[in-house]
Amino acid sequence: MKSKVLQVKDYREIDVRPLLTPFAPDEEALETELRRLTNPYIRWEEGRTAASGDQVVCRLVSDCPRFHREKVRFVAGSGMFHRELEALAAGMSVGETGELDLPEGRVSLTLTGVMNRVVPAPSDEMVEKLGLEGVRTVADYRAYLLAQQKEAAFQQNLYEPLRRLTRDVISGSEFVLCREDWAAVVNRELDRCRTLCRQEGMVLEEMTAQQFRGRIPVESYHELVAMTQFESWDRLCRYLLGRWYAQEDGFQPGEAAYEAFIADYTKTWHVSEENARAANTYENFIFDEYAGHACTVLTAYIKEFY
Amino acid sequence: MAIQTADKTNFKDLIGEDFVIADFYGTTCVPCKLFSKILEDIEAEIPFLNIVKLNTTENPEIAAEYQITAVPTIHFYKDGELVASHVGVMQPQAVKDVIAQYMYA
Repeated sequence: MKSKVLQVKDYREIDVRPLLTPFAPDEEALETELRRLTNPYIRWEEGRTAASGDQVVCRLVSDCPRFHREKVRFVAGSGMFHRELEALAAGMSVGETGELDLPEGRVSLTLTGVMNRVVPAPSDEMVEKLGLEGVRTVADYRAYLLAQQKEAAFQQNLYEPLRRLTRDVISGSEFVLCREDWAAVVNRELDRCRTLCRQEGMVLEEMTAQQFRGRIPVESYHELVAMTQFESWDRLCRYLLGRWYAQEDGFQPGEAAYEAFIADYTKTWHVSEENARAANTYENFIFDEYAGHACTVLTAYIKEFY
Repeated sequence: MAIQTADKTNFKDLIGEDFVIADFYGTTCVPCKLFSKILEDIEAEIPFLNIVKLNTTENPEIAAEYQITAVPTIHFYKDGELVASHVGVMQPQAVKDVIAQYMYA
């Protein structure tokens, strides 16, 4: 490749803080996750009085066949059977009968059995059994969940800051970009699309808008060429940036990473190894790895301020 | 009734009787993991539900036989007959609405 980077804009000179959305913990989601910790430890104990969440067994008498049953089991308050009848059962004791007028007719409900739901409080022992490294107590687990939530929020909001930082770094850097390198990037990407389509029994140049739908966000081959040509300029810049950063931090993709990628691709997409290699040549893989490395470096910088 | 993991040898048997929720999921599918948690919550709330999970990545032949083209796909069976299905994550109440419609029918 004749293209090269002469000087790279130092990303540390770019203030990304105004681009970031401050993290706001979702306390409700956090509590839901903590509650899930107790799910395997819930006990059901025979009881006398039903409350919402308890399993109840009832006898129903009604002119409506749906509500005329000798024995029916449901969880009061769960919404799994009939909301109003579930509400009627909650608060009743075994042997007690209640009546309800429904649009379908009058229903008489006699409670014949109750299993009370017993939910233990989250404990350090429960956390230990999760086997998470460095997470031993409920407080640790809360912090772990919060960190996960923060990471998810970061990833969700990353697109725009990363796009703008990449744009600023590229526009502030000096490149020597050769037309033939750009053309090679375009052609490699089109070849990849061509191979993938051929593997699905289609000819890329002849694909209809309907065939493109759900596969590539264009409506014709010419649109695809235009999109690929447009995107390949920046892809080439990102590749050169990635190579530059790799010289500094030692990043070096190679055969082992390629083989692992092919193995994963084969399993994920249920394709033969031959098809996986045809759609993802080693040359393309290395190019994408370096381009991706530029994103990794810039993402790590953005994260410092999140 | 715990959540049961099915494979090609027992899937048909596990959906053959009573009301059964079958969750077709994929190994690397993120929405599947979310729905898996929702199912675990429902199982903790309604322990006598029959829930069967089938990994379509590891059992592609069953996925093909049941025409699973995307994951998660949720099938609801009553005595072996498919009575409702949904593609994508279902919220807990939506699952309960299907239970209310078919489990006691």
